[in-house]
Amino acid sequence: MQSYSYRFLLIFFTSMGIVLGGSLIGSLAAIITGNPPLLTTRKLAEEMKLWAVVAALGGTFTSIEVLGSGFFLGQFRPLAKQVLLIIAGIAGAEAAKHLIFSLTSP
Amino acid sequence: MRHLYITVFKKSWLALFIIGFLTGSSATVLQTGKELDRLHILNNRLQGELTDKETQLKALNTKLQDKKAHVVEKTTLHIKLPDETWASHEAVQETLEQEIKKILTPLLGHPVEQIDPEVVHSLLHQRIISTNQGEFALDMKWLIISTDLQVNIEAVPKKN
Repeated sequence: MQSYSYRFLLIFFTSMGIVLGGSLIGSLAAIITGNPPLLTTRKLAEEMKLWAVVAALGGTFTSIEVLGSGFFLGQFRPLAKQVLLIIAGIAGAEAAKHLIFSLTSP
Repeated sequence: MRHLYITVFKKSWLALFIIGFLTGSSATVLQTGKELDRLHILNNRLQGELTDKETQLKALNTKLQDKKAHVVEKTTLHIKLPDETWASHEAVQETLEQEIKKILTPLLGHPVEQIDPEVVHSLLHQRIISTNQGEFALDMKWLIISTDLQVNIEAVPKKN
């Protein structure tokens, strides 16, 4: 059984890694095809945020199920935990986006 | 065992190489990206300016051609001489042509719309031109006013 803090950090760093790696390595395509690399990096970081959160959470079904049972069956503790995990994913992706933006600012 | 070790070693080397390549490339992108972006934007701007200039040039060319189309560019003369046997028939024709062209020269470059046929008529009709073979009176038969100003003239020898 994984501890909650481990899952929390795992989601945070996973979503951060997805955005960082995706945008940095994805920008190599821009170099090869003669497009502006930094603009591409920023665009990728912005566009990849949501998908990074979803991927870090490990698919949306479990989260939605937990949210559903939290709302309709009155289980507010797992609901709060799930919301916090989603927030961790968003925070990781957002932090990565800010890192990319500050690295590539003109 | 040794074979397995080499395979694992090679695989890890390859993975390390790829990761190193990607990391290095990403670092290079971050380092040189600003310049590349700047050059890309500059290139786009220059391409845009080039397209603008080309469009302008095309428009100006069209305008110039339109302008040219309505200006007298040349004069063509159809001179008819009486059927008499002269020694220097061609020379007379040449002299007449030169003289008439000289008279019509001020009309070159003038807008076609501004040329008055009456003026051209009065310039040439019944005008006396001297040649080596004597004097000739010009009888203007017809006139076409266009970019190519065409005049048909019958040269009648003046009898003294």
